[in-house]
Amino acid sequence: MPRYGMVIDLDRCTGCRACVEACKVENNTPTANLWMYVFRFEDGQYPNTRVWFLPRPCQHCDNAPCAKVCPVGARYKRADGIVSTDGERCIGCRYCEVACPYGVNYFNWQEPSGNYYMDWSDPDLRPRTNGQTPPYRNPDLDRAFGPDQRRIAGGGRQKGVIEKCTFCVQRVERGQQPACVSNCPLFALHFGDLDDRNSEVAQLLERTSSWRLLQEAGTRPRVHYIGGRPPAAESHQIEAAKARV
Amino acid sequence: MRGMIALLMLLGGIALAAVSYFALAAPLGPPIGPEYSNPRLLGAPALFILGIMLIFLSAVAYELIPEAQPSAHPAPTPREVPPGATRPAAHG
Amino acid sequence: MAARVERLPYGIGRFSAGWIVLIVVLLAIVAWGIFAYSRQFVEGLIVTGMRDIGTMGGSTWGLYITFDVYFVGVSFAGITTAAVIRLLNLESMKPVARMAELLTIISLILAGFSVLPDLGQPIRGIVNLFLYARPQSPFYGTFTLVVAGYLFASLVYFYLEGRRDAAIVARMPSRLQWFYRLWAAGYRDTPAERQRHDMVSFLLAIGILPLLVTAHSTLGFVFGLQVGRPGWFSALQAPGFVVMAGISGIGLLIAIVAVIRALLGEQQRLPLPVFRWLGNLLMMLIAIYLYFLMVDWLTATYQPQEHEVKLTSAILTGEFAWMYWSSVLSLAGAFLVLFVQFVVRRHSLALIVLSGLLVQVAAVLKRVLLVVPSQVQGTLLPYTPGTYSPSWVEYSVIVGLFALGTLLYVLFMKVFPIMEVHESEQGG
Repeated sequence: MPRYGMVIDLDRCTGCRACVEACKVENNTPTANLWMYVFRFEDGQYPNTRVWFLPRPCQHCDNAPCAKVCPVGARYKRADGIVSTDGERCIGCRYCEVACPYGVNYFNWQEPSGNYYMDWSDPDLRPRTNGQTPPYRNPDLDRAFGPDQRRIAGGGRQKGVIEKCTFCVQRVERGQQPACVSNCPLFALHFGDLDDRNSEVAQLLERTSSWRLLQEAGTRPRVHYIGGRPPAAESHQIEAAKARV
Repeated sequence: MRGMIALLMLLGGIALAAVSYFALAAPLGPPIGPEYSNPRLLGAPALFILGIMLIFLSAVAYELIPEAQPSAHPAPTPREVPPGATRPAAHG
Repeated sequence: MAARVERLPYGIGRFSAGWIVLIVVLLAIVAWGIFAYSRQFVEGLIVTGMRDIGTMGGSTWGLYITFDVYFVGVSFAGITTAAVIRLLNLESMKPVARMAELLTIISLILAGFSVLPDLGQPIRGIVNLFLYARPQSPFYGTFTLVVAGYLFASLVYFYLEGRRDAAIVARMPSRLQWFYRLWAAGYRDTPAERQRHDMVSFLLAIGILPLLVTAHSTLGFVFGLQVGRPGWFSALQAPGFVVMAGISGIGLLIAIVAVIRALLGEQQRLPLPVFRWLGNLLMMLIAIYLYFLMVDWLTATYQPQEHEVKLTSAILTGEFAWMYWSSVLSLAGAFLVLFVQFVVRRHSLALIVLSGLLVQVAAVLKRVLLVVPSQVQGTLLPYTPGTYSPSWVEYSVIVGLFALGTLLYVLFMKVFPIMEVHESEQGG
C-alpha cells in the first residue's frame, strides 16, 4: 500500500495560482471554494519587506482532527493516507471544519448549480456549444473508489455537505498526478509515495530539510514544505481573500 | 418478581450500552484507516441509546409492575380508588 | 351538564381571554420561525449569516450552536434542582420541583431543535446518527447522552414524580380524566407505594446527577478538545460548561417560578425563602464561574501563545469587547445583588429575579464569545480576519424556538398541576 504525500518547494513557487485554477476545473468545485489556495504574503516593514507564497492544499494529516471528530464517519482516512469525504454520508454538521487548523474545508451553502464559470443558460452560448448544455462533467468524479467503494471524488455534489481537497483521488487511482501538481509551471509541487525510496517526493525529502505546516497542532501532515519557512505572526496577506458566496 | 425484572432491565441496559459503545460502534483510537469510520455493527449507536433507556426504564418497571400477589386482586385501576379516601381540592 | 363543583387545581383546563391571546401570539411566532426555517430548508444554509472559515472569512458555526449550548445549559437547572430537593429532602422547595423538571425537558427539546437547523442535511442527520455515530466524536455524547439519555431520564423522573398528582386529579371529572388515569397507572398512594416511589426516585436522583455532569461536560468537550482553534483548547471548558449551565438554568428557573407565583397567586406555596434558596445557589455558582473567568483571563494574558494574542485582544479590547465586558458586568452585577442580600440577610423577590435575568444576558453572550471569535479571529494560518452577523432566518428560528418552549410550558400548565398538589388541597 502506497503512502501518498506531497512536497511543496516554496523556493520555486511564484504565486501564479495555476494550481488553484487547475483544481477548480478538475474537481468542478463551487464558487469561492478553493480546495487549493495560495497565500501571497508580505513580511516585514517597508523598505525591508519580503514577498513570498504558500500553496495550501488539504494537509491529509496522519492524525487528522477532522476524521476524529466526524460524528458519522463521513470524513475518514484511507489506507493510502488520503483523507476523504463521503458526500453520501455527510450530515453537514461542519464539525470537521471547526476542528481543522488549516481551514481547508468548504461547505455547500447552496445547491451547486454548475454555472461556476459562465451562465450556461445564456441563449448565445447554445450555438457555440453545439446545443450541448450543461457542459461536460468528468464522469470519473461520480465513480466510487477504494475497497469500500465510496464516492469521494470531485466537488459540487449537493447542498448541505462538506467538501475538500481529495488529492485528486480520481487521477491518483489512474496513476496520474493531482491536477495542481500536473499544472504547476515551475514544478514547485510534487506528489508520490513517501514509502518508495525512489519516488520523487522521498528523494526530495531525503536531500533537503523540510518542515510541515502547524506541526505544533500535533496533526502530522502529509504535505511537506521545502525551502522558505513557516508563516510567522508578522506575515500578512498582500490582498484580502474576498471569495465569499 | 418485580425487583427481578427491574434488576434484569438495569443490568441488561448497562451491558447493552457498554457492549455497543466499546465493541459494536466504530473503534476508538486515532482514525488511521477506513475501518475507523464504520461501526462494526450498523445501528450500534441506536443500541447504545436503547441500553441507556433500558437503565432508566427499569425504574418505571419497578414502580409500575404490581406486586406479585397471586390473582386475589388484579392490578387496580384508579377508578377503583374508594371515594372519600382522599377528597379533591376545594379551592378555585 | 351539572355545574362542576370540584375544579382542577392551578387553573388546569380554564383558559381566560388573556391565556388565549398569549397562546395565539406564541403560535404566530412559532409559525414565523417555521416559515423562516422552510426558506433555509429549500435554499440551503446560504440564507444564514454563516460562511466557511478561512478564505471565505466566515464563521461556520453561529447562532444555532450558540443557542444549542444555551438550551442544554438551561436544562441543567431543572433536574439538578429536583434531584437536590429529593436527595436533601427539602420539603419547602418541593413545589418548585416540577416547574424545574419541566424546564429541563422543554429546554432539551429546544436544544435538539436548535441543532437540527444547523445541519446541512437534517433528515440524513437523524438517520445517520443512529446508524453510524462514532463514540470518538464528542458529538456522540451530545447526541446519545444529552438528547437520548438525559432527556429520557428526565422524562422517566418527571413521569414517576407526577403519578401521585395524576391519581389525585384523575378523581375529578374532566375531559382529560383518561389521560390522568393513564399517567397514574394504578397509583393509589398507599404507604407501600409511597415508600417504593421514594426509594426509586432517590436512586434515580443519584443516577441522574452523574449523567448530568457527563452530559454537560460532553458539550464542553465539543470545544475543549479542539487544538486547532485558539480559545477552545482548555481543560476548563468542561467544568466551565457545567457551572455556566447551572447559572443560566437556575437564573431562568427563578424567573419562571416568579411568573407562575404571580399568575396563580400562590404566595403561600412559593414564599420568599424558596427564592432565597435558589438565589443563594445561584450566587455560589456565579462565584465559582467568576473564579474560572479569572483563571482563564490570567492564563490567556500572562504569557500567551502567538495565536492566542490576536484572539484575546479581539475579545478583551477589540470588536468583541462590548460583549465580553457586558457579560462580565452582568455576572458581577448579579453576584453583587445576591451577595449584598445574603450579607444583610434581607431578600427582595424583585432583586433575585433581576439577577436571574441578568445572568441570562451573560449566558448568551458568553456562548457567542465561545463560538464565534475563535472562528473569525482564531485561524492558525494567517487568513484575513472574518466576520459573522446572523441573518433574519437565524434570528427568526431562535425566537421561534423560545416561543415554542413558552408555548409548551403554558400548555402543560393547562393540562397538569404545575406544582405538587398540596395535602390540604386534596383533603385528608
